[in-house]
Amino acid sequence: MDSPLTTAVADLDEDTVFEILRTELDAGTAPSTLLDFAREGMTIVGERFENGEYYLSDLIMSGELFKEIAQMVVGETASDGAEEPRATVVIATVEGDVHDIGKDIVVNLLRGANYEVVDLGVNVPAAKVAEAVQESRATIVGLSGLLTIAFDPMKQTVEAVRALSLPVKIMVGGAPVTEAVREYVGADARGADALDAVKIADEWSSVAGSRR
Amino acid sequence: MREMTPRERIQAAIALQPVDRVPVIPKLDLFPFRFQGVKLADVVRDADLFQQAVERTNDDLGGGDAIYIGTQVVSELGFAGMGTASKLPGLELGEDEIWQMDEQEVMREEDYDLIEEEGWSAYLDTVYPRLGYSVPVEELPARMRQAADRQIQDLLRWEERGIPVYVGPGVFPSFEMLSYTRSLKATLVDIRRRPEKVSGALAAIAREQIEGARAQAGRIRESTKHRTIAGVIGATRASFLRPEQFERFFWPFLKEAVDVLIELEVTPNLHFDGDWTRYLEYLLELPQGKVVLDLDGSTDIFKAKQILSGHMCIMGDVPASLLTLGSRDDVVAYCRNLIDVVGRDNGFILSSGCSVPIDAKPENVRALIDTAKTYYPHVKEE
Repeated sequence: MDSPLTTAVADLDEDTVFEILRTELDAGTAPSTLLDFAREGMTIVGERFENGEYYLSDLIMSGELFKEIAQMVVGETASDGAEEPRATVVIATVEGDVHDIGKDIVVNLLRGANYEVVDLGVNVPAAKVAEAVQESRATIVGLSGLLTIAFDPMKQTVEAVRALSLPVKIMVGGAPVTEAVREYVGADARGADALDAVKIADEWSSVAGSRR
Repeated sequence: MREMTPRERIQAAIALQPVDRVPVIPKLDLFPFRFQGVKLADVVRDADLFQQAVERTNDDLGGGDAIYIGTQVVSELGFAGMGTASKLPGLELGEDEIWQMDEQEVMREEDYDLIEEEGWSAYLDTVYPRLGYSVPVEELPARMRQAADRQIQDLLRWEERGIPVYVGPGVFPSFEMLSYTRSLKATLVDIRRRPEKVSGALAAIAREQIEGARAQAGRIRESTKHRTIAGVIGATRASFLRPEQFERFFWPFLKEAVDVLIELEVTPNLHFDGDWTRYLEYLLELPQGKVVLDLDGSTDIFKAKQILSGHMCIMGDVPASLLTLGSRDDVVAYCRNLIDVVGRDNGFILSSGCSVPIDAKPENVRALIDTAKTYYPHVKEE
């Protein structure tokens, strides 16, 4: 049976979540244990989104909730738990585009799924993405764009990352990003929605496997 | 069947009556500027350049059955009317970069009371200094009047040229408006933590939106011979909501806006971006043959046809990425399929999705327009 914390996170029951956290932290429960329970809850949220029980507003809420849990339990990012992160992911909305809602949902879901995420924000030049990949030794890059004018910067960003000759996989997403767009920009995969991005990352990190 | 005028064709499609061919109204949006070599920063500075670029583009492409929006949409005031900051070409951005809303958490928790008690305009006056615009606050009323006058002036110019303008007075659903100025994330959190406050503010915003639409409809009626056909009710984010949230925070306000526009003899055009597939059944509650559902390629338009056939005219939905990256043949095939399936049994207007993007291939935009004019499989010979 799921822990009460997992259930409360899955049900997006904020009051119960924070009540349990306070009690458990006072009792000296390890932050990493609490984060693991919360992550299990996030997995259930993802499943409920997939089967149509949850809506986008629930995904956004779960992201906010997980962020607050992580801050309360370990401070800053969620990947400071005891467990090694599955992989490091660099995420950005590409240059010329300032949309952040979709990108932020993906960032929060990835953190919930135990990825180390370097979130570069919006309107990010190609060189900056490449630099962050090199510095963080990320193995996955996620690029977002909501405008057709983002396609060329996205393509340039893919090229800049490829030029590093590092073992990096690149996924792209955003409302107008179809399979034809993925092909045009030269990315390895396209996330049809936020959850899809996590699945792609899971697939890539389990194939790479070495960091676990 | 005798040849219809563009206005007759559009009105027939809206009323779900037979047409001589499917009407076509591309939403040209930013496309004319790069196509005509006009820099976006210049359009922000000079509304005449906007009008000229759209007119020339309409002439060069052969034109659809109507111009979607006849007037300037962005000035140095950007998105101030929505209580948000903007990034504008020539100001925060380069000369030819596209304007974007810069969504931040402008509205604070205590502002709910301000909106509910003193209204949306009072709220806008309060937050305007926080938004970073260059236009001094005391010039705002005059600038707003200017924008409204400009809409009438442009309508008259299109009227002189014998080209109908599709869109006139609009209503922004209050949920969308609130989520822009409060930020979507904070609004969704508020819906859970302080639903009463959210409801109160939404009602106050809706009141002023509707007053604004009435006033502008009145001005258009007084000044022009041919009225605009439709009024836009634009929404995206309500499609993110859970059904019980949708029913409380979006649907009642949408229904009210629809009723008011119909009363003003303006067709409500539901410009619904994003994926509304799960909410299509609700639209059956709106009056039959009086509303247009305008989709952007994210909602399943074929499902929409299945559900709304015989009830509501559908407009759309050639996706932006197809117009930018696809070939001419891809666009023709897409449009023909729409005409075949969504155009069957009347009630269809061919259009771009949300808009024709600035970097669309001109031959693709031309293909969109030409396909409607040359391909009409459903017309019965008399």
